[in-house]
Amino acid sequence: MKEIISIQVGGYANFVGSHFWNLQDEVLGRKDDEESSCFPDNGINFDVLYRVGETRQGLETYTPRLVAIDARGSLGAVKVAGSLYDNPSSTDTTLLFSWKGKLSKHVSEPEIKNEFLQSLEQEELDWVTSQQTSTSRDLKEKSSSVESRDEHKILQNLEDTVQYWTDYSKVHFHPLSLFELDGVWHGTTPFDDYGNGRDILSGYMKDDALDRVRFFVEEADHMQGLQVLVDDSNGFAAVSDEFLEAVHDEYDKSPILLFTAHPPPLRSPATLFESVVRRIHDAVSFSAIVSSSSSVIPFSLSSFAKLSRYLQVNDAKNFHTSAVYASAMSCMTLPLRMDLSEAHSVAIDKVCGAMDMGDLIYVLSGRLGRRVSASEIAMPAPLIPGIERTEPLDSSWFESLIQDIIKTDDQVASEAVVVQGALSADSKLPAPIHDVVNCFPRKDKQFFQLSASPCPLAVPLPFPDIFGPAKQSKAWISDFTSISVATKLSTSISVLPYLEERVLSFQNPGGSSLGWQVLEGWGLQKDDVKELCEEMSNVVSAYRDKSWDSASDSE
Amino acid sequence: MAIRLLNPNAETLNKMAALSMNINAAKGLQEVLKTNLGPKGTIKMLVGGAGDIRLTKDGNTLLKEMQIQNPTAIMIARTAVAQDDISGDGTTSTVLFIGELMKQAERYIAEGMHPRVLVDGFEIAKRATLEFLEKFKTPVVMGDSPDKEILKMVARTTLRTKVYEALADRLTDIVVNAVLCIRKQSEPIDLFMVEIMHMKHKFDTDTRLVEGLVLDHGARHPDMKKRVENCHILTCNVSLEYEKSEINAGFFYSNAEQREQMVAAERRSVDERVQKIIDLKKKVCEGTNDNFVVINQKGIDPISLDLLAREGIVGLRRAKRRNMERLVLACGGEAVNSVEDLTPDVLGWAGLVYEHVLGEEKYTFVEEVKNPHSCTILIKGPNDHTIAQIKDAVRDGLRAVKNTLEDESVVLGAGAFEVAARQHLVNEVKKTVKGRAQLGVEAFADALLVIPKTLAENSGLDTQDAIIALQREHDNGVIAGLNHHTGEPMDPQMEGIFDNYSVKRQIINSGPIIASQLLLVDEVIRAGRNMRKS
Ligand SMILES: Nc1ncnc2c1ncn2[C@@H]1O[C@H](COP(=O)(O)OP(=O)(O)OP(=O)(O)O)[C@@H](O)[C@H]1O
Ligand SMILES: [Mg+2]
Repeated sequence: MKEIISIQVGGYANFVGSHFWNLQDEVLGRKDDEESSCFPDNGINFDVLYRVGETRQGLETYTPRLVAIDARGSLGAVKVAGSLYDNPSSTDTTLLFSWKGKLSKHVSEPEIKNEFLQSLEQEELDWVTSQQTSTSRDLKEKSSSVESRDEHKILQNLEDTVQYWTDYSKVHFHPLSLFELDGVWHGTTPFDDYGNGRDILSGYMKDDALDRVRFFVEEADHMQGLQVLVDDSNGFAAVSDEFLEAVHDEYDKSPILLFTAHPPPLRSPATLFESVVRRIHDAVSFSAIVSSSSSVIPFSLSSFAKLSRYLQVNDAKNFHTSAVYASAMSCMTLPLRMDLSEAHSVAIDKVCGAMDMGDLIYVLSGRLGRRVSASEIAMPAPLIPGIERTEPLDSSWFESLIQDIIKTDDQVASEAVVVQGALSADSKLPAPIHDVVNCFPRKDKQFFQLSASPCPLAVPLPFPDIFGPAKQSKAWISDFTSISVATKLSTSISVLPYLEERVLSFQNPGGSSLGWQVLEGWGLQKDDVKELCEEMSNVVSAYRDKSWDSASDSE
Repeated sequence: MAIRLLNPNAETLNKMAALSMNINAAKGLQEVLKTNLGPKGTIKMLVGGAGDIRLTKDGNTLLKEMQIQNPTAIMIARTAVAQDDISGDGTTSTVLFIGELMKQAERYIAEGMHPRVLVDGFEIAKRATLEFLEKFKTPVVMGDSPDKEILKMVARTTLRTKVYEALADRLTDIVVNAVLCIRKQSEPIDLFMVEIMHMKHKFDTDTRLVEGLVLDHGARHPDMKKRVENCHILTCNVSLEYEKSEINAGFFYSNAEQREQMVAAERRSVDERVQKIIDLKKKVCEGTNDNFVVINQKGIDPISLDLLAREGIVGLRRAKRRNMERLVLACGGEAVNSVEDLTPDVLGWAGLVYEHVLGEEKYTFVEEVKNPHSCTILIKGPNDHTIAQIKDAVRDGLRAVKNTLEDESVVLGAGAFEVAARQHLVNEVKKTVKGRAQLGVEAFADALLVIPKTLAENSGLDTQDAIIALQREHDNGVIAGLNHHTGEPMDPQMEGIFDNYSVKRQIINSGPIIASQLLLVDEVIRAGRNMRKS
C-alpha cells in the first residue's frame, strides 16, 4: 500500500474536492452492497487515500489524508474541526478558565444546516440508536426510514441553495484536515487576484498548515506522493504558491501531482485594466505554482456547453462544474488507487494498469520532460464494441477540459488513459476488461498507459443532476446511481497555446506600463518576474522541437 | 467575526467627506478595541456561524477576527498587526493612539485648521516624544547573568493583560526560564528554539516547561520500547525508506527479473544505511545499559523500522525540520545528513525518552538532558480555543522577555510614560514651536492620554479624576501610573509594572505616520463633472 496525501487550496478547489471525496465515500459505502456486482471487492485500495484513526472515546475512524485550506467563514454550517472527534465546545462563559475578568460574547448568525446535512445527521443518529438497540427487527425499521427520505427533494434543495462546499459534503474529515486562513474572510476580504493572496500564508500560520501535512505524512509507511488541487482563479493562487513551495521543499523526493482549477468566469473583464490584471494573474499564478510540482493538469473550461451531449452542466453553478472536474480527477487518479497486488496477479478482471504516482508522472513527462498535460473526459465512457468489431475507438469521444485547445497530432506526446465502468455495446452490461483493453490499443506512442476497471463512478446523492440528456437518450441503460467515465491525459503540443499565452504575458506585461504597475503593486520585482518567465520558458521548451527553440533563442 | 464596519463608496467622496470617512473608520476601530486594553480589559468570545469559538483578549487576534471592508480600517489594522510582527505587543495601544490622534485632529479641523499644519505639529511632537523616551526609559544591564527579576516583571505585566493573575504568574516563570534557556551570549535570541506544544485534555489544564523536547509523534513499530533511559540521541536527515528511482518506474522493465534486481539493489542501499546506524549503536551501547534513539527528519519504512527494533533501537520518523536544530541544542551532538558522518561525536544525550499516548495522538518526551539550549512549553487545555488563547499569551510573554534582553531597557507602565510625555510636550516642547503647529503638538500630547484614560475606564474608574490625579503627581515631579484597583496614582516601579521599550517606541513612531496619511487625503477626482455650474 502506498499512501497519497491530498491537499486542497482555495474555494473552488474545495468545491471540486468536496465532490471528489463524496465520490470516494460513495464507493466505500457501496462496498457492502451485495446487489451491485462491481462495487464489493473492486480492486480499489482505499487505504491509499484514507487513514484509520481513533477518537478519544475509542471509536475507530476512517478519514481522508487531507489538508484543505480555505478562507474564514467558507465552511458554512460545518465546524472547522469536524464533528467526528470533537464534542461541541460549550459557549457557556462561566466555563472560561483562562480569564476571570470581564467577558463579552459575540455570536454570529448561526448557519442553518440544509436538508441534506440534516438528513446526514439524522442517518447518523439512527445508526447510533440502532447500534445501541440492535435487534434485527429494529434495524429493518431504521433502514426503511432512511429510504423514505425524499432524495429528489433534497437534491433539488441543493441545486437551489448550495453556497458553501460543505453544503453537499457527506464525508467526515479528520480534525486536522480543514484549515481556515486567518485574515481572509469568505466573501468580504478582497481576494480577486494573485496580489491579494501574497504574504497571507506566513509566520505561525504557515508552520501550522505545514504541520498538518506532516501529520499525515508521518503516518505513511510508503508515501507515493502528494495529490494537490488548487484554485488558481484568485488570491488562493498566491497562497497555493507559498504553500506548495514549502511542501515541495520539505518532501523534495516525493512526486507532486497538481490539478489547477477555476470556475468558468461569470463575466469577461469590463475594462482594459481588468483584462490586464487577469492576464498577468494567469501568467504569474501558473508559473509560480508549476515550479513546485512534478506534473500539472489544468482544468480551465470557460463553458461546459460542448463537453458532452449527454450532460447538461450549468456554467454558473460551482456545484455543477466542480462535479465534472471531480469526476475527471477521480477517474484520472484511479490507477494510483488500484491494488498493486491485484495488478500483479494474472487475472486482470478487476483492475488493469495499476501504477503509482511516480509512474504516472514518468509516463506523462515522457522523453522530453513535459510537465503540463491536456486533460480530456468522456462521460459516459464510449460503449465497448464486442470482439467481432475490433476497430479502435475514435478519439473524438473525448472532450477537452481546457478551453480553446486544438487537438493536434503529436507523435512524441505521452498518454495515460483510464476507463472505468465502460459498458459493452451489445449487452449494455459492464464490458470485460480485456475487451476494453482491445479497444484502446497501444498506439505507436512511446509512452502510453491504459488503465481500466469495470467499476463505474458511483454517483452519490449530493451529485448535481447533470444527466438530463443522457436520461432521455436510449443509448444508456442506467439508473444513474453510477456512470461510466473515461479520461485521457496527454502531454501533447495541444497545450502549447495555453502555455504560450502565459509566456507572452510576461514578455510584454499588458502591452504597456500598466502591466508593470500591476506586478509592482503585487510586490513583484523585475527579478522575480524574470525568474517566473524563465520557469515558463523552460516548461514550454519541452514542447517545441529543436528548430523552434533556436529560432526563439536568437531573437 | 460579528463586527463589521461600513464600506462607503470611496469613489464619490470629496476631500472633506474622505477625511471624515477616515476619521470615522479610525474611531470605529478604536471603539471596538478599546475594551481590550490592560489588566482590567474585556476578553471577547466570538462564536462563528457553525459554532466555532475563538477567545481573544489581544488586539492582534481581534483584528484578525474582524471582517473589515473599509479600506481605511484595513490600513490601520495592517499597521497594528505589523506592530505585533515587529515587537510582539502593543497592537491595541497603536489602534487607540491612531484613533485618538484622528479624534483630536477632527476637533481642530472643525475649527478651521488645515490638516497640513496639524501633521507638521505631529511630526515635531513625535520626534520630541521619542527623544523624551530615551531619557525616560529605565536602563537595565543584561550581560552574563541577566536580572531575572526585571525580566519577570516585564513578562508578568504583559501576561496579566492576557490571562488571569495566577495563571499569568505561572506562565511568567515559564517564559523567563525558557528564554534564558535558549539564550546564548552575544547571539540574537531565536524564539523558535522554544517549542510550543499543546495537548487537549478535559481535566488537565496545566502548562509547564519541559527542559528538553516534546515531539508530537512516536515510534512506529510495535516492538519499540515506550520508555528508555540513558539514551544516545541520533538526530539525522537521512532517508531510511525505499524510494523508487525514476529509471525503475513500475512497468518499464524489459522483464520481471530485471525489475526485481533494481528493487533489490535499491533496498540494499537503504538497508546499508540502517546497518551503519546499527553499527554505531553497537559501538556506543555494547556492554552498557545505554539506549539508542534515532530521530529522523526523513521517512523510515517498516522494513527499516523492523531492523532497528530488532536491535532495540527506538526510531522516530518525519520529525519537524526545526526539531533537528532544537534537538541538537537540547541534547548536544550534531544533526547528520549522511550516514558517512556517523561517529560517536554526533550523538546527543538524554536521560529519559518516553512516549505518551492520548487517543490516536502520540507524544515523545526527550528529557533529562544536559545543559539544554532548547526547551518546550507544553500547554494543556480543555478545548482548542482556550489552548489557542494561552498559546498567544505565551508568545507575547516570550517576546516581552526577548525584547527586554535586547533593548537593555524598559519603560514604566500603567500610563506613567504617556502622562509624563504629555507634560513634557505641553510644558517644554510646545513653547519652542512657532505658529499654529503648536496646536498639532498639543493635539498629539492629548492623544497620548488615551492610554491612561482607557485603562481607567476599563477599570470602571472616573477617567477625569484619575487623569487629573496623575497629572498632579507629575507636575510635582513624581512619576506615577494608574492603580487600576483604586484609581489613585501609584509608583509603577514599586508595583513592578514595566512595558517594553521597543514596543513603546514603535507605537509612538507608527501612530502619527498613519494618522498623517489619513489626514492628508487628496480629493478624489470625480468623473462627469459639470463645467457649466459656476
Ligand atoms: N497592572 C497594571 N496596571 C495598570 N496598567 C497596566 C498594568 N499592566 C499593564 N498595564 C498597561 O496596559 C497596557 C497594555 O495593555 P494590553 O497589553 O492590553 O494592550 P497592548 O499591549 O497595547 O496591545 P496587545 O493587545 O497587542 O497586547 C500598557 O500601557 C501597560 O502599561
Ligand atoms: Mg500587550
